[in-house]
Amino acid sequence: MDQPVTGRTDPEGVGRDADGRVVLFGAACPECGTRFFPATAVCPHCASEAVAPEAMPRTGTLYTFTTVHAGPRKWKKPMVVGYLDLPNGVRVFAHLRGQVAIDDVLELGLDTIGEEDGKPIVGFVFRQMGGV
Amino acid sequence: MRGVSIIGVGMIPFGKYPDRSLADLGWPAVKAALADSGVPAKRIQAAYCGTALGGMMAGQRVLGRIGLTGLPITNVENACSSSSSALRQGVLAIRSGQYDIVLVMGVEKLTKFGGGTLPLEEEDWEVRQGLNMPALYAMRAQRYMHEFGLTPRQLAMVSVKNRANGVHNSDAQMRKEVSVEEVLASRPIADPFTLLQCCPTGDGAAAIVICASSLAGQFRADPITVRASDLTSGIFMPGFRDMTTPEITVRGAAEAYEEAGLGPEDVDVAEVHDAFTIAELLYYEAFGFCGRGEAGALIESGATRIGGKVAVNPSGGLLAKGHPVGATGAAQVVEIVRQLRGQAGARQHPGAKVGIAHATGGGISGFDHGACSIHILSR
Repeated sequence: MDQPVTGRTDPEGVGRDADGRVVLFGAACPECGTRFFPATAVCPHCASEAVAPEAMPRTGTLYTFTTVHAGPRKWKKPMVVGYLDLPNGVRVFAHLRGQVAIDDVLELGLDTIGEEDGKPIVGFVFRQMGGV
Repeated sequence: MRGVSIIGVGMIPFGKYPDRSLADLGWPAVKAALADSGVPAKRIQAAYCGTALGGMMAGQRVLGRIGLTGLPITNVENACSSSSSALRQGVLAIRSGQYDIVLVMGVEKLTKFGGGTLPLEEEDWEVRQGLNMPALYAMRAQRYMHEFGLTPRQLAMVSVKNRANGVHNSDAQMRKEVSVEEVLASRPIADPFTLLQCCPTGDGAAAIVICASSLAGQFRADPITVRASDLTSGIFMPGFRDMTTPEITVRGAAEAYEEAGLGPEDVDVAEVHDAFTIAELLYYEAFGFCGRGEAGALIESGATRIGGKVAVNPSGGLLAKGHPVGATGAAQVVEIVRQLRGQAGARQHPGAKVGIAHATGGGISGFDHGACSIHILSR
């Protein structure tokens, strides 16, 4: 059963909340309580298909990160990426912007993260709170 | 349950063979293992072939070159654990009584991708967002350094040790010693890793002949006993996960030690999956060679050098021997067998009686690793 995830726009998993702010839409399982991102049609913990889309918190604590200098051409390099631990228990892999350190609390935004076939790849990023 | 013994091993030197087909990489390793075992080809009852990126029917393509066909051939894909998973299938088949003598191999040709980071599955969410293997291991390293004060020099020492071991291994892709300074000054890949802290990309093949232990004496006077043959998958976790503890290897190691009735204090040599420097350090802890947070001190102490308390990656490991993904697990077993037989020449660890081969990998979202296969062998 393929549940369409409402509020989901391009890029994948990214939408807007009621205030027009960028937000990630993951999902929650009403049967076992597992929350996850990105959304899938089935719960990765209990296999329930009753999963419902859910907006993820817009800030997270940086668990770890790295600056990447090698890899497929389409990604803008040096590329800073890391894992954000969100207050709802979900961990999200994301591109990062600006000076960051482990344990920083970062905020969701949008930016160009790469280029494919001459077109920019716009994706979600995390950056310092209150940044542009 | 029937015991299983290793009676033959062979491999080709790992390296770059852009002009050789996968089939032509594979058959020399198979012939070498057969010759080493003394088993006539016609007595092989089944074959298991591990490859991650070699394409369909890799085993048939290799064995078709040398007339070893018309038997059950099973191809196994499990990322970096492909050929160690193939070995486990062979062990299970002999234990079950289905077969007495089985051929296992691993073969991979990465030069067909033209170099660079390993191509990963684009269906995976994090891969689609730009994650690659150096970045994933680099993030483990950064967190470990943050929590335990591991230094860049300690990280670099892993490369220095393994490259020094590779000098004495004619099957290794990298055979030049490097210094800590050279490692740290090589070009940046993913912080904190520099080029010399990443395993090279390349091609290779390795093969193993195994049989029921009751038959081993017919072929060799020095069979190596399979004390444990373990395979597990990672546990999918969409939430927080401690990236300084390789949970899949911690579980796998506990299972393997239990199966073997052995513990870390019994291990003389270990080939562990050092795709990047941090990995070897994490596996020191996972296998119980040291306590949590102590891996930096352990490498610095020299205890994991050849001649130390436990020689880790005497072959040079993935960092020096190379890492043709699907061939790695089988090649680790080749090295452990050579060490246990006392055939490792200038890189021989004195008195090696018990050895571990550990291949884990598969960078996919939500898992520490996708697969992990561990073998404990003894003479």
